[in-house]
Amino acid sequence: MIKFFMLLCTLIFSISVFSQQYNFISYSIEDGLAQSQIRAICQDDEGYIWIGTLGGLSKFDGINFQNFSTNDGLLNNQINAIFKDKNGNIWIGAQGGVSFYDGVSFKNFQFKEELGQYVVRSIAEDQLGRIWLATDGGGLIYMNDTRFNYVVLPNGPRNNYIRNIFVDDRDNKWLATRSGVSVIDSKLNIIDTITGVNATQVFLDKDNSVWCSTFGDGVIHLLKNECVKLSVSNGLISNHVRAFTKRKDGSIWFVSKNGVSKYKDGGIKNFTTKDGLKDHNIKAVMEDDEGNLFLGSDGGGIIKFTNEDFMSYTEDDVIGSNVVMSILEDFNNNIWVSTYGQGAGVFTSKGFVLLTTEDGLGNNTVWCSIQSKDSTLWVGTDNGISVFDGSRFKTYARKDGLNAKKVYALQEDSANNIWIGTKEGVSLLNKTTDSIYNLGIGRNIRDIFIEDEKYIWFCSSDGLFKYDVKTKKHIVFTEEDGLPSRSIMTIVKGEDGIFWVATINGLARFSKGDFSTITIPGNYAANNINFLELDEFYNLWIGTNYGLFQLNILEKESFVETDFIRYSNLDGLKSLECNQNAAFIDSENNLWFGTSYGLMRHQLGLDNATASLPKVQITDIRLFFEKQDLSKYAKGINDTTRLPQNLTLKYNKNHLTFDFVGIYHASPDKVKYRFKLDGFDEDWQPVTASTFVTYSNIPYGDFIFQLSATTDLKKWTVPVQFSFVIRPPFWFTWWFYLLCFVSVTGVIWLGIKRRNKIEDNKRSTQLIIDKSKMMKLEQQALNSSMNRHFIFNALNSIQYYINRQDRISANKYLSSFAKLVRKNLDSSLVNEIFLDDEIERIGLYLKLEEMRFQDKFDYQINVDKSIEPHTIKIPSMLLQPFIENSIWHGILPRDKKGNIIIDVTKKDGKLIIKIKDDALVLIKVLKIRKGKINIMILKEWN
Amino acid sequence: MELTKSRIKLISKISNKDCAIKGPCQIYNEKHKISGTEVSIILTL
Repeated sequence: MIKFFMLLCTLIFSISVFSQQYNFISYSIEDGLAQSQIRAICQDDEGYIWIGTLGGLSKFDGINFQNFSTNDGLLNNQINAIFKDKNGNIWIGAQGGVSFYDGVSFKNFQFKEELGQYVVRSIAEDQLGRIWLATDGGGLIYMNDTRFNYVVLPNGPRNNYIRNIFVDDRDNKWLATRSGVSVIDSKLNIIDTITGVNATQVFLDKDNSVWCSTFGDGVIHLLKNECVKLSVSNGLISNHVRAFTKRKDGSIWFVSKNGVSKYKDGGIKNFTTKDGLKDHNIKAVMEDDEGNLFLGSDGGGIIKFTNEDFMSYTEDDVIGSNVVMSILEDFNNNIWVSTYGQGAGVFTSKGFVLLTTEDGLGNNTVWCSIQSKDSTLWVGTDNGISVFDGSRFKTYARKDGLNAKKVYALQEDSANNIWIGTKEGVSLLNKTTDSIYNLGIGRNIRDIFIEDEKYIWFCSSDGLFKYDVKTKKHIVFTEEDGLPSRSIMTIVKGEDGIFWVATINGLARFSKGDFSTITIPGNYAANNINFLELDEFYNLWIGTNYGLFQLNILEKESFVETDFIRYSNLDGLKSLECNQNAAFIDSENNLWFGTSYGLMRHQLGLDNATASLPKVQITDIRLFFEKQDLSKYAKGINDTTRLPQNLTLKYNKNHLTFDFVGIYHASPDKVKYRFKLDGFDEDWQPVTASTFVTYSNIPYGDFIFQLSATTDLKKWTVPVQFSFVIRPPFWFTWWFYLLCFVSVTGVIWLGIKRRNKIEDNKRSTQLIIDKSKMMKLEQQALNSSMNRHFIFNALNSIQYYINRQDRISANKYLSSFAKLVRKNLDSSLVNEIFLDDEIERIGLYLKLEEMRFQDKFDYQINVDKSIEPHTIKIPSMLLQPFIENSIWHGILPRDKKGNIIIDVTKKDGKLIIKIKDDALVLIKVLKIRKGKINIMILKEWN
Repeated sequence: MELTKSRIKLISKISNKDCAIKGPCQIYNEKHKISGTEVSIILTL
């Protein structure tokens, strides 16, 4: 009773005073970090977080660590400072010097020997691009190119123990030393600004006020006319502040051995392990480009803090259980929490007050809770309903008529009746009569929704029941009606009258009597929905076995993957698995929901849109899955991307793997990629979370690999590109074509030449044969012209003239005969003779024959005047056989005198020799055509 | 005659010039009676 009184008295206090866990995500050696003692943090232009530890250097892309040590060229594995210069190079401060990293390799610069023991605590760059190094005892050092210049500060060694250096817009160097704060101007004049404190860091704010953290004196804020001091006395977590950073939202975060203090708008909020910090011994702090805070702990690794959107409560805090099954805000705005196995409780000013079976609860496993209009608290347990009226618990169990022990759902209707969902169905408690009625509706009633007092919806494992209050009849909806599953978890109704139904196999939208299924992106666990909550911003909050999803349903009927926003461990959820109907939106727009590992609180209505896009880059290109030195196929390496420039590969080196990364520290698991290979892909390839892609059998040609990244599938980064060329195989090159052409032409030419040669040979052979034939024929022609009969007859004629004493005729005949013989013999020596020689020879022959056959015939030889016989050559001894034929077969058989006329004319470039007689001889003519030769063959009639 | 024709053939073949012997054929007078014979030797210049 005393406890209840105390409870009632304390319920009016806010819960904000209770320990709650923020979204601090820690990474240590198990995650790949080089070592767990962090001394320095820095972010480079590509988005990587560089972490200096006492055991090496780590480069962090949000998921993976790449570690460097002395084996990689570092000066020292104990790193105390990291700095990125204006050119994007990384400087690493260690004992006795610094290392310089240009993206490819380390280059070390060591101090002179007497300063070799001192450690570089801080690095800065002045407006001339000179690097300044603060050492813990060796004073200040700056670099001109690669040469060190040593500056020793006055007033003893404490002044030369410099923990931090800050360069302002006027190129003044602000030094935090063991003696205070000193300023060195561009002419190396030294002014002590703050003295008497052991300064750890100094920073000149935009309003020209100076922030200085100290060991022992907290934080000094030096304004124009006043000095404000932050210390433990006004809320700072420690007076020994190691470092601090001013964030984009204006808050300043101070880190110390005892934890972290956030200073904003004059107020201080502290964070320790109770608030989710894995380790409160913090050495370094840095805010990245996205606004995430990175804390370097001394033994607990690196800690990332994204935002305060999600806060958690676990059994380590106050609520006593990690499994919260129900959340309720009572009329006094107190938050009640029901747990699995640990009872129900409420946040009070004096702690979390837990009510258990010892306090009269039916069972410590509490499934649901409501507050009735009369302010009575009703909870459904593993053993009936327990009712707290302010003074005592009353439990309704099976003995009171309840149809089952386990009560999963409760609702109060307008008639103040309590509707009860149990393992075995629906029961109704009439408060007036204090009696329970059981309705034979469904099993495992997980939720009850009362719609306008006309209908009551029951979410069961047997389907979705719609109960008509007036007729007391019900209908049930299952898969057959379009639901993705008959196992229903909960139902909510929007202001537009549309119902949203959660099942174990997806989300359903019920409008105008029809169900439509909406598949949640991810896997089957994402569609195993455990709760639904609809906020005033038209966001449907969907708790699944795969995290929490946010879906804006305003004026939308269909949804695509990009409409869903998923929240997971990396956003601060303690577990991906949400609990059955363990969700509630309170009056301050906080979404409370239970997971399998703690209670979560999420502030609604904040603009949680993606603040920035991932920093995407192609990190490597592999050939046949292996890392190779591709620079030998390229014209050098690009200074910015570190990728080969103008990469040109042979046709058989066409299997490329592109490695890439999209750095988004706020939520690295949300980074998705799309890519395409211009020249190969027609369009962007499907969105993937993979950080590499392999293209095999790339044909020859010019290609551009394009890569873009997103976190919400709506906004994409400007694509990064990589161009390369695959050379064609030699058989597709112009010179090979030319070679082929020349070769083929050559072969054809040789073939033709050979054939011509063969033809020539054949022709020559034939010519020889023909000439031989010709010679033989000419010989025969000669023989014919000078045949024995002709010679015999000619000699007889001569003899005749001699015997007649006709010496003149004998001489004339003999002379002509001798000339003819000589002509014939001359003609037989050549193939051709001039026409005048042939005419002369024919004339001799005709003259001889005329003399021999006196008065038997006359003859004429007519040569056209246009012909120059001495210039035209004709075959020798050609005409005589035809003339002989005319004389012997045409003229001599006749009784009367005949005529032989030989006409030589020229027409159309042809010489025509006609031998005509007036003999009456019957002849038969056959015409044969062969080739270019036209011959008329004569056959004697008899 | 055959000898000359063979020679003409060969000459045509060797010299690649059209050569021909036309006839002997009969010549007819105005009364379409045979008035003689004629042989033409045609040589391409």
